Amino acid sequence: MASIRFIHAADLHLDSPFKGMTELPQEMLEQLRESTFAAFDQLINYAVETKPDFVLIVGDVYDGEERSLKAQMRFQSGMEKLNDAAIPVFVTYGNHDHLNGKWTRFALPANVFEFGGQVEDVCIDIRGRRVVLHGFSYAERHIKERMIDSYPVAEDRDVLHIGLLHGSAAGDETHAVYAPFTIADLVSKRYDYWALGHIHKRQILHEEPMVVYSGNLQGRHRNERGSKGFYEVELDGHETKLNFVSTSSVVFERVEVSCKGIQHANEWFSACMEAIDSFTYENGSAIVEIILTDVEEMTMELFSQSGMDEWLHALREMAAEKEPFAFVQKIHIVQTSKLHAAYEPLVESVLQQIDSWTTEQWKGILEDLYGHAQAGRFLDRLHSEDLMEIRKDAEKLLYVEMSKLK
Amino acid sequence: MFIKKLVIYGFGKHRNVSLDLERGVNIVYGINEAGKTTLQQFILQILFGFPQKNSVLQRYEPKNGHAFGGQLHIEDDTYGSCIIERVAGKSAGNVTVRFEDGTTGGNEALQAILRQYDRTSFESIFSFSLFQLQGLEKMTEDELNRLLLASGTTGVDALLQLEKQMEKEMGELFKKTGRNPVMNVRLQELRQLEKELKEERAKVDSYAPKMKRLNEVDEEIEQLQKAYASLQADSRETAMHLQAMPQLKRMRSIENRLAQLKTTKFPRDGIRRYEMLIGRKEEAEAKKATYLSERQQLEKRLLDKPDRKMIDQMASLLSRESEWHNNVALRESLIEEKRQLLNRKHRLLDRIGIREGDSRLSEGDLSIKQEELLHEQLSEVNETERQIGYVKRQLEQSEAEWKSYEREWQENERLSPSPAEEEKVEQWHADRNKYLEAKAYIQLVEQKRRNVLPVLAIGAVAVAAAITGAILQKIMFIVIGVLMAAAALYVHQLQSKNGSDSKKFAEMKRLIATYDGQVEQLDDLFEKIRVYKERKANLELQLRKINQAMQVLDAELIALTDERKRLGQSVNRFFEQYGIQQLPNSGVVQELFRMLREVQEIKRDVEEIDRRIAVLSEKTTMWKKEISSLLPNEVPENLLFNVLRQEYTALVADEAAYSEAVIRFDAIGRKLMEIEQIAASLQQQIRQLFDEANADGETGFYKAHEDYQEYSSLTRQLADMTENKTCQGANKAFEHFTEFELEQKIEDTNNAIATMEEQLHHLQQEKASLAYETDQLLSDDTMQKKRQLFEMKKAEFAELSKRWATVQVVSEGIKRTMDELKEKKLPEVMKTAEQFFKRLTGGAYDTLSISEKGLFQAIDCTGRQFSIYELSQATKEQAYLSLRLSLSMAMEESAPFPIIMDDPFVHFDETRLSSMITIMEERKNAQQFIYFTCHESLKYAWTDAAILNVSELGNEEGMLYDEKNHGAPSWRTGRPLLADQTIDERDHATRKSVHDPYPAR
Repeated sequence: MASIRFIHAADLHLDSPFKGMTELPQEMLEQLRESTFAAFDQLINYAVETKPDFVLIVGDVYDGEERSLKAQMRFQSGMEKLNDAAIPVFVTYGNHDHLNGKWTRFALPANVFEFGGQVEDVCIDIRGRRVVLHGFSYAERHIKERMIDSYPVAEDRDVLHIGLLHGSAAGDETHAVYAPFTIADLVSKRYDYWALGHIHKRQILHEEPMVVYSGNLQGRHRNERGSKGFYEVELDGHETKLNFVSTSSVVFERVEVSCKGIQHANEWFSACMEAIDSFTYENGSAIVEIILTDVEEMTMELFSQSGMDEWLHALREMAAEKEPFAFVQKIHIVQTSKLHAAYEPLVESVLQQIDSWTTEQWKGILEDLYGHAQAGRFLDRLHSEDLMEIRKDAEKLLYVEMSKLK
Repeated sequence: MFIKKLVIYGFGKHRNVSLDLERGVNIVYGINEAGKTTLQQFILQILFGFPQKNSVLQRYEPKNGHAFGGQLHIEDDTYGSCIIERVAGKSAGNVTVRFEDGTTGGNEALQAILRQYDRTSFESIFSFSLFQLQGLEKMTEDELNRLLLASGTTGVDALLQLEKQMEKEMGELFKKTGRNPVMNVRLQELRQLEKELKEERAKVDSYAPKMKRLNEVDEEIEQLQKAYASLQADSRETAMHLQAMPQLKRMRSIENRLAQLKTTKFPRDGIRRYEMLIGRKEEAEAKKATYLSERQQLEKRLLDKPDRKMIDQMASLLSRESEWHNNVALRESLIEEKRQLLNRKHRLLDRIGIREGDSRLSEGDLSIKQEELLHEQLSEVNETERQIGYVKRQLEQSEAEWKSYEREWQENERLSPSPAEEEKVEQWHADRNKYLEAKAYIQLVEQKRRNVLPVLAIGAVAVAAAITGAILQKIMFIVIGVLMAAAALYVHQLQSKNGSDSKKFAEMKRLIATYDGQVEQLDDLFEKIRVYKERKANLELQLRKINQAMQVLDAELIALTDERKRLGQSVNRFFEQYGIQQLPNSGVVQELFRMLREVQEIKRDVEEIDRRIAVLSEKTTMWKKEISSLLPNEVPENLLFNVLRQEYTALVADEAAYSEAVIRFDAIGRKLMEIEQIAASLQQQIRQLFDEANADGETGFYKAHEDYQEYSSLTRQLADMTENKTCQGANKAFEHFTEFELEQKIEDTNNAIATMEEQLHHLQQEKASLAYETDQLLSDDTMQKKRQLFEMKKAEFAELSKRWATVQVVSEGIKRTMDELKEKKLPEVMKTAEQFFKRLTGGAYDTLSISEKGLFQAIDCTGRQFSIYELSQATKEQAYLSLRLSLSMAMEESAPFPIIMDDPFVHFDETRLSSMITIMEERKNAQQFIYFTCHESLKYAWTDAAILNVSELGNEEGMLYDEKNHGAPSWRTGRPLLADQTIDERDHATRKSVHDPYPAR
């Protein structure tokens, strides 16, 4: 039987603002802002060029209620292009663009099928091959129930079944849990392919059948690292071929720079630039976090000559001249040894004190700001990892400052 | 943590020394200078590094260049068994930590093992001498805190300073109710941005309502426009109706008039047709009258019918008219012919010389025989004649010669003088003049006649003949003409021969000529006188000669003439039988015969002509008679046919007219019938017209026409009005309104329109602005920009927040650490210390506390308060010792270090020492004590302590002597708490190694 070929994309988050961006030069900011569109355009162009049998968009076309009209217009025009190319599109709306939203809805062309609030089966015929798509759109912002239970079990083996599901695996606490499922749930449905959305990190949860998060088309912050894009999937009922197509026009990544033996500033700069250049050469424009490894004392001594901010700015300036652009968002130093400081026991005591705090205590301590009626609204909820980071920063601060005070 | 073993490579005086320590209490005994302090320093320096070379602290580098440094074998709850080695290297020495898993570490590992304690912190709690125990009076709470925090003298200060710094930074970063701190500013910005964003979002959110509104507006506009259009139409209609009202009125009146008018139809073109019909009818009647009168006339005419028979007779006569004319002409020509024949006969007879009526001629034999006979006679005659002719010619020749001579002579004579001349002239005249005259005369006459008459005669005859021929078209007449001409010519010839009437005239002529010639001769005469004589003679001679010849000839001639005469007589006789008197010239005999014959012929011809004339005359008479019978009047013969023809023509014309009249009559009859039919038909048509017009007569018809004219005019007007829409806009709905009402209505409508226009204007403005706004919204990037900005600001804020949080955590950490110290740890420490102190002092002192000033104080059992400096030396030391012990206990977790003491109990009395030892004994399982002392007595103060004699170390390098003399059981009993087998094994292993030199070395 003939194989079918389709595109599995998810989490377009068109025109989504980029979080955590500070001090980004205007030019880069513009490029970055355009990147979700650029990525989307790449998807559309790829589809128009390669003419897949259909395109799946598994949720989160937009970035929520704040969706811009422009985003909707761009999406609509993209759909129009696919319509012109006679490529059907199947869209499930996710938590960010649920059906209950009050936003203006732009009429989409006839080639776009939008899944409703309940699990629906859509039967299509691809060159004589019957394909059934199972999916649903988020009826409201939060879908906590196990929608997976509504998906029917595929009985007929001569039909290709594809599940579209925007949600996360139960127990994955790193993401807000929506429409939870377990991989076993998915496998038990005996579908040929599970096109998942919601998790922005591209990952294959299971093979045979394939259970795939295509990830988002464009990284949006420093935690959405690496090349982003969509999967071009070829199914024939026996074998599933996945082809990742990168669309991200700006890549977020961490770039490691070994500082072994670095004693002088120029050495460090050239090491960083070399790492950045080779990265952008491979990946195009990028927003990178420089991870300095193998930092020896002498290198630390070098750094201590001026504030890390100054080093960062200097590096940014150097990187800014490059094309494709690279913006150094942060510099991390991986410390191989514990910090040395005067009054170490003292500092340790304080740290011990800090470490002894319960989450409640932490909250209490940070209450002034995070519980502040005004300020709190603008702050993300602190997760344990955030606390960890604060803790680390505090430690660093303590050491640094105590060293200074010695 | 406890130190299991010291391995000294070289440190101060010690070389290659290895020293095992116990977990519990270790008494390191040695006399002064034995190297106790060196050993103590070894431990500290191996742990915390060799002092800097410029340090106040002593460096124990072996003087002899022996390897510097050594090992500490330790056992740690966290890190397990480790060997800490420090050898010469950097000023602090090079450290290697070997873990039991085989891994090694450097300074960091050591730091970790040392829980980041530095030497100062360490010394302030765990390592002390008597001297250091005496510092309690200077001890403050802060000091205690510092100790508790192992922070040395400045540590807590620094921490507090840091805390203050943190507070300050926090204050700069954020204040809960502040405005100026960075984050507050940022917060304001964020809030502002949020507000703006909200506005932007509202804008964007307004898209859908705006679009909705746009659609609504569109719809409203459409509806309004419809209403507007309808109103306008209404107004227009009303206005138009108003405008059309007069026309409408007129229409109505026309319609009324039309309703009144009965005549709604009239034959098309009726009047013209009627009038034409009338005209035609009148015309037909006029024609009819004409025809009737004509028919009457014709009827009359037809009574007189011409005689067809007569006409036919006439026609047949007339058809023979030419015959008649021919007869007449023929008769006349015959008469003429006869006359000519007779003339000719006369002439012939004249010529022949026979009288008229001589019958001999007509009966004479004119046969060939006779002719031949005559010919014979005549040939004889002719011969004779010929001869005579010959002679005559000779004679004539001679005569000519003679004459020529004569002329010469005469010429000569003319030259003779006048008398002679006269003579001669007379002579010449007598001889010759007459002859000459005659000759000249004849000549002259002949010439004249020949010239005029024959021409005339021939011309006349020719003309006559020609005319006759032409008229009669008969050759015969021409022949006759010719003959007549010939006869005439002949006659004329005869006449001219015999004519003598003109002789006189000729003679006169001659006379005149002679007279003229005489004049000339006279002139010449003088001239020729001279030659005259001689020539005369000559000439006379000649003349004579010739004369003679001539005589001869004359004789001959006479003879011949006689002969001739005889012959002539014979011939005459011959002729006489024919009645011919005169003998014709012998030459003409043949001619004569011919003429005779001709005469006979003429005679016969004439007879024939007469016969024919008679026939013709008879015919003519018959014709005349016949014609005359046809003619009313007597008509002379020559006009007979003319009249007949006239009569005939008249009759034929009359007949033609008659038959014409007959035809005409018939035609008129038909025409009359036709015209009557036409008239009837016309009448019928008129009737029809009338019927069509619904009129009973002409008057009615004309009336109907007028009515119809009016009707059609009105209808047309109405149609025009309808067609030209003059009443366009007239609306039945408004028909019952008055003009005023309508005007009012228009005004109302116009007002409504104006209102509506305004509404429309507003709506259109709204639409335009909505369209613009929605369009703007679609292209407006502001919100996203703001969102991005907001996110960035948020990120910045988050970073600041993080900084704040970090600072806060640090600050709070410090604060809480301090608080905990104050409120929890310190009291605990104080309490434990108090207990120790109480035990050490045997209950003399109850409480060890911190005064309000932060200084230590002791309260005895009676409740009295003592400042530290108020206490005895030993008590002070005991208080401090209690505190240090308590501190070390309190920091058991964070700093599980051995307590290294340098003979601090020297001031203690037995009881207090014993108490101290008891306490140490109690603590020894939890904490290692390394007690350096020079007091031998103390070696035995503990029941279960490892005794190490330092003094012996210096004596035997490389050897360590375990001075412990308690034996294995006591060694073993010292370790009841260590139930763990593994540790036992490890210990065992460690112990084994004690006696071996360090393998690496």
